Amino acid sequence: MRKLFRRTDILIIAGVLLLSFLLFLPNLFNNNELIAQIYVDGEKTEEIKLDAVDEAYTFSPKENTVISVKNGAICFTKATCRDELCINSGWLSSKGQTAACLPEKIVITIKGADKTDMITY
Amino acid sequence: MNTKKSKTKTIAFLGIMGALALSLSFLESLIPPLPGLPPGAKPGLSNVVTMFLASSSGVGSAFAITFFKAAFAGITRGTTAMLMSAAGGLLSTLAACILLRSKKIKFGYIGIGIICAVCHNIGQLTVACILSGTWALITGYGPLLMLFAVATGFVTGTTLKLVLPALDKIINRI
Repeated sequence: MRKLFRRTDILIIAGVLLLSFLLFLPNLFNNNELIAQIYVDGEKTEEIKLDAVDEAYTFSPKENTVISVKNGAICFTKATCRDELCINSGWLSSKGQTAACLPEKIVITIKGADKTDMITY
Repeated sequence: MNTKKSKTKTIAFLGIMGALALSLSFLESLIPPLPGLPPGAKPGLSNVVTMFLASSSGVGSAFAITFFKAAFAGITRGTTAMLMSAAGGLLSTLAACILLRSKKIKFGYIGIGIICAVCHNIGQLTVACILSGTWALITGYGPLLMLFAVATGFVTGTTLKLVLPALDKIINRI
């Protein structure tokens, strides 16, 4: 019978961790300004500079779906589906964080501003 | 394992396995969303059922249960859930069939569990990207999902190893 754990399994774990890191890399090459991008039906419809938001507000990219914005963070607050995974993603406030509403095809993702990609001295 | 089983026994056996997979899925859905974890991320205990079928029963029954799970998700939670379940399920069941049935591949159960979990998440992420039309999800959700797959694969692989002797005894008696 097969063993529970073999030495080759360590390679698998290392490979998956490496993959995870590689996928995370693009998130690092942005500077500090937080920008929330909202995609509706695959098209980028809105970009919000989260640090520039003074007063909290809400908007609806589609009927019955509500997104709330406050200084430094953005969140789904109303959804049409039952599992409400997008709402449970909570407030997004750091680079690389993403919330997706698949039934309505709405995605919020946080990017840094791409004014400068890298600075070398 | 018995060489020839009657059709009735196969149907009854698959019925039990299907019920087991669904009840495990239901139990998982009771876990509240935890902060820091990707929303909707679950330990994937029902994958233990398909992994067991892949290793002890057959490729056909493993895929039958995978489709059954997807159909049930479709009826109870809608088309999106069905596509997500099918994409993750098919890819991870395929991986389980190849890895568990091959005599040459010498990974442990934990390693196989992790690969299955990674395949499951890749399948779901791909469908999520296609459905939303937004490939930014790969860098948004991907890293966290891969890390989470190591944990869930560890759990499912260990569970499989623990329950396999008992289940094999049952399957031999049927």
